[in-house]
Amino acid sequence: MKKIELLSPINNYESLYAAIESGANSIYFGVEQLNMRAVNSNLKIKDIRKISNICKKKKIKKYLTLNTIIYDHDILLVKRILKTCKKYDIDGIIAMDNFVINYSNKLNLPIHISTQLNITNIESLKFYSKYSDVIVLSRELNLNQIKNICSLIKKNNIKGFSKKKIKIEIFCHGSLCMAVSGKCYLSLHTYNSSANRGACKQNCRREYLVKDYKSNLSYKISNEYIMSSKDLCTINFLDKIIDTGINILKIEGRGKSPEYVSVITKCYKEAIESIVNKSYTQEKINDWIYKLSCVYNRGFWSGYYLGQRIGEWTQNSGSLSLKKKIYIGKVIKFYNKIKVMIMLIQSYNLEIFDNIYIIGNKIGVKETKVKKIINKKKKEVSEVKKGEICSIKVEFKVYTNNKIYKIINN
Amino acid sequence: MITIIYKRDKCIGCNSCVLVCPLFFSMSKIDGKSVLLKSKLKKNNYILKNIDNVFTRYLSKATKICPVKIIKIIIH
Ligand code: SF4
Repeated sequence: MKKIELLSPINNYESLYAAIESGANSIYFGVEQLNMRAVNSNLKIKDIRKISNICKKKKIKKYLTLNTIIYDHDILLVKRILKTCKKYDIDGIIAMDNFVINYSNKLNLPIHISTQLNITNIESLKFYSKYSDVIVLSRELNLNQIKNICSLIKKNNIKGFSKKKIKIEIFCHGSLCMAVSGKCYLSLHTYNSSANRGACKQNCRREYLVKDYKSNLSYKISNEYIMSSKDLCTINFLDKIIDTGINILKIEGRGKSPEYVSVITKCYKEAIESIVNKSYTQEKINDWIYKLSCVYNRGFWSGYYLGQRIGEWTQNSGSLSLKKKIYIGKVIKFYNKIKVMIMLIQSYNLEIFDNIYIIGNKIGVKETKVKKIINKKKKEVSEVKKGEICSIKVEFKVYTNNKIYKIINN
Repeated sequence: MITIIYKRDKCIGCNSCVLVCPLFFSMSKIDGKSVLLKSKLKKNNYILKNIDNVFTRYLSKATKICPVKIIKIIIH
């Protein structure tokens, strides 16, 4: 069986380390305002070098997303970003605009055709293969259509820009768009805030009333968010997905938290491995689904892969996650030899047997159970409150200023 | 008098403010973000002071249209 690449989203250094620690084979990120998460993009051009170096050290691939609509005033910025990517060996550019594609070709930077271009058939794939090495297929295709495209690539030996066989990438988990991806204008028309410049206001995620014009009566539309699609989850039929012949499995979520990246990456990594070594069981699937539902989600469905006729709509406005995290404090010192960290509680409290996340640079996201709390007076206690200092033992290395969160049921 | 306060680092370069207020805004070809002409940088904000009140309606078009709401006007 060929190797499947698991591609995780990152939006800062915490999620970068979370992805690496959880077993991602590659990561993707955007910089400045020219990516589909422009509004909460934290990374700048200068981060390209740092991210690239970290990925090189950890031996994973790194791709840059540059897939918004591009105007004339963006041209110099695009060039600067792409040249920086070339200089620091970014492995690919996820693009939609023809200028971005063309300029990357000139620099010999591999292109991934973004899902924003909605490739849905082999002929348009052939067209783009002249300029790219990876094609992200439209999220609206079903498994048979994907399988067909993959087998036609093999049969016709379709090669990409670098003369190697073209690769296929699809989304395996995360939010879905209620419109065909990249073709939604709701946010632009209502708020002048273009989704295709990374500023989607998510009109689809809200609840709506219908008004009877004559009587002026309003009705709430059943109990569904009629435009808010549930999240894509494929872990329960990942064997079928891999069987289609795709090469890269991509996780959506550059807007999500580091622990989201960590949990989703870990589960899919385990799933891919168990499919490879033939230990993919229902029991494991149930366990993964439970873990996936503990982080941000709007309920799960299989997207369009299994050929459902229409979308499935969520019944909630926010997340349905079973667990949530609350910030309680930070690491102020760490003794590596004895693996003991001193922490300051800044809000709520810490109790014995609490499950906590430690999140931060270099460590990504680590989860542990508190088995013993020692307070400032070196006494063993069952609880420490806001403002207090305590020490606890952990099984891994942490760093000063790593943040500590308590995991509680939602 | 009017003061404009513009939080430039959050600009997504959509060009809307330039369309409605070309007298005050222009797109930078260097970093693709909008520039508040003749303004001064003070603690991450670009500030332009002493604008005549006749521009109130004109400028409020920009404050309204900006998708990330980073243009503010204060009328003294
Ligand atoms: S309208 Fe706002 S986001 Fe758009 S270019 Fe002007 S300042 Fe930037």
